[in-house]
Amino acid sequence: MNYFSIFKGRTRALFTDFTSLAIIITAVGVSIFISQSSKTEVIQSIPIELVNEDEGYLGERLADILSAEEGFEFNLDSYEEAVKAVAENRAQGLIVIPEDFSQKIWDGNYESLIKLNVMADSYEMKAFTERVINDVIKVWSEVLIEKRLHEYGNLEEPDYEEYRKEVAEIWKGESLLDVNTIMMTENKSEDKEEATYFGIRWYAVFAMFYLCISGTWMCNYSGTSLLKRVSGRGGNISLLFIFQSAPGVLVSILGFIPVLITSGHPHPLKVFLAFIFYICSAAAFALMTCSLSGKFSNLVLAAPILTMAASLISGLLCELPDWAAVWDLFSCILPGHWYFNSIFDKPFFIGSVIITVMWFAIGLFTSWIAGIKKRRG
Amino acid sequence: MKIFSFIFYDIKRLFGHGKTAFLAVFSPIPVIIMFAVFLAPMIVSEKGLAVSGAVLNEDDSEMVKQLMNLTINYEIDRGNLSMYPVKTTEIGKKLVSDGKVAVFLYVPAETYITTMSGEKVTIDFYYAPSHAFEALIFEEGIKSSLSVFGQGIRAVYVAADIAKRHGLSDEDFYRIWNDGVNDLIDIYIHRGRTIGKDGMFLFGGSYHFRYMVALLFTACAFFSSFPIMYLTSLDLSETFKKRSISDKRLFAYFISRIISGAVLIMFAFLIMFPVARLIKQIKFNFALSVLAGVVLLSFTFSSLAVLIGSIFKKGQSALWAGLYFGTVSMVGVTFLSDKTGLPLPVTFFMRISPFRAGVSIFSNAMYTLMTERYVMDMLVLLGAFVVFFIAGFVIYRKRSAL
Repeated sequence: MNYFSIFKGRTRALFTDFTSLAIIITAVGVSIFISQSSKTEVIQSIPIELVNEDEGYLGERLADILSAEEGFEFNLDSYEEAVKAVAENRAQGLIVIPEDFSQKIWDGNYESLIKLNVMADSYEMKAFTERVINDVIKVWSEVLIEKRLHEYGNLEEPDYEEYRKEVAEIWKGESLLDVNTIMMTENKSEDKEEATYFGIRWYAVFAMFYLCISGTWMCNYSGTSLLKRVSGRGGNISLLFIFQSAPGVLVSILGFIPVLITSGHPHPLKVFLAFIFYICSAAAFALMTCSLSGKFSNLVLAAPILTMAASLISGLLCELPDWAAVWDLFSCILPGHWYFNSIFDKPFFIGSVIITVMWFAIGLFTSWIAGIKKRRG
Repeated sequence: MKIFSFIFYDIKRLFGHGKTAFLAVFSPIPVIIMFAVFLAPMIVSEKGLAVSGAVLNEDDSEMVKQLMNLTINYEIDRGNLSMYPVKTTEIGKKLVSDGKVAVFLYVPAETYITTMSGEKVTIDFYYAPSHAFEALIFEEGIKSSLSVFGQGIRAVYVAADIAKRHGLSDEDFYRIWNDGVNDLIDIYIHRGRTIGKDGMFLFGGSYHFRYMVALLFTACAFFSSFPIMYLTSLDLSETFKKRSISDKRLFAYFISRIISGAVLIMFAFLIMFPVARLIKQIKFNFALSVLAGVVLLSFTFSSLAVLIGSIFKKGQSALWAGLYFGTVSMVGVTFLSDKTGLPLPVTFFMRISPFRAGVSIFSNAMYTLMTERYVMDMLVLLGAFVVFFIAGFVIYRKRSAL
């Protein structure tokens, strides 16, 4: 039995099937981008419409303070234009400073000083309301303190001007009271910006998806003439699967190398070894997925869901919450769990080996069952 | 055969298409459940986002004590926070490491005196990575508000200094100072009221939660349209290729496929809504506006699926195209739809994207409805439906004639 010709045939098929190959190429690009973007601060601006109808001068003061907010781009417009911009998705939020804004602040009336309308179709908007409130608070504080100065009575207009100027600088500068955010991991405190290695974690997710979705040959694996021919010639079914899967596995490993290099992981060889075990298990996982799907129209629906479920529970997509202790326990049977351990310097080797063997057996068994069902059907 | 018979027959075909239709309709369930379980503490909590924490305040000044009490007690009363005082930083950190609390707040000694003297003070905020979701929302609120409070103290300092230069006595200086800081605390505890809400923190903490629900609903609805693509492609490559069909009949087939496809997608919605509603705290309104959005989105995705299915001769290629289109649209909506400075064509496509409009309709209509945005999104969907419908039929007709 010439397994090498099977390997060659599958490699040729893989490289000519650009639709599935595009997934791994995209995965490499996206993963490298994630690795790099997590190292550099990306400044993005979300457009916000601002309507200033205030009859006093404090509305303008608020607009000045708001414009210093990083990550948001404030456009001063009429109410009609602002609403139109939000409606047309040219802006994600609308702030209206009403005509009595200054009057209310001078009167000490803090109820509904501004009108705020936030579109909840952007992840970045979660902190927006807090920031707007704080900026209103700044104007309010400024006026209250100025009122205290008026009570003193000995000051003239240039003194108030000096006060306003200095306070404007304070709002732009540092606070006297700051919060230092520290992430705790296993009794160690780490800086918030500590590497999470999302690049190599998410590449593993993409690679598993790629093996599943490019595995249409596995959908009919049990029923194809190839299998019959191999069995007829006394070939080994396990070896057939290994040689058929090998090109996809190799492509995934080759794609992993640049992602790993750009991730800046301190122990790349260890992670690389863990990835080899992971991707072999993922190939067997793909065999199970494809065998259960039976045809491509089912696979295209099942592959994203199963890949997402396996990756989420393994902690590859995002950190597993600790209330999900059952998940953590369950994820031991998933290849991603051990790969995740290797990235974060936890024991992985024995677990990876056992899981690879286990998934290999599960894959072949599922394929065998699917074959029996198909033949009976 | 009348049009209703066509539709009925096509629905039977679509739903009878083995596992595929079953998967398409029921696949959102595990996705929603996974999503819900992942955010379990937030979802099962009666009050939504609840954060448990430990606090160590080493500053014995009345001002900081008052500030901490006001800040924390208010949120405890609202059920957003449960705080446990600890005696040492080690205990606090250990509670976080062991996962017993989500956050630990440490206020160092002489915080008030140090800020009074114009020097900077840092409060430490520890959190567990497994609680990053709710901890960082809380952190965002406390950080920005404390920071403004700290800046306010500097403003008081400046005012008092100017007054002192004009002959203010020490006694009056401290009076201005204390009154100023008291004013700040007063403002601080009423900060939510500036936008007509109660409380101090966590305003907008649920925006991204709403956004995720909307994104999930739209993505699941699109993936439910895969059997439509597949079956349309198969029909045009096999059945319609073998015999000639009159234009009128072909149009009836085309319409039936779009209607039956929309029914399939609506079935997915029918399953998604109750499942999502069963999970506590995924609160949303199932208003008429949502219903209209569901119907139009189903028709738009159905006509898009028929268009994709008509373009590709092989069912498999149509599915690949659908997969790529869905993924690119999802990624675009997630990362680009709210950004400025993008190339003009990208901005334009994001604006007219039915996917973006779908997410926007759900995140808007299921919560606080902004009518102008809703109407515009519905028009985008309607426009997309018309374009897909016309283009779809032209290609459908051309392919069947071959």
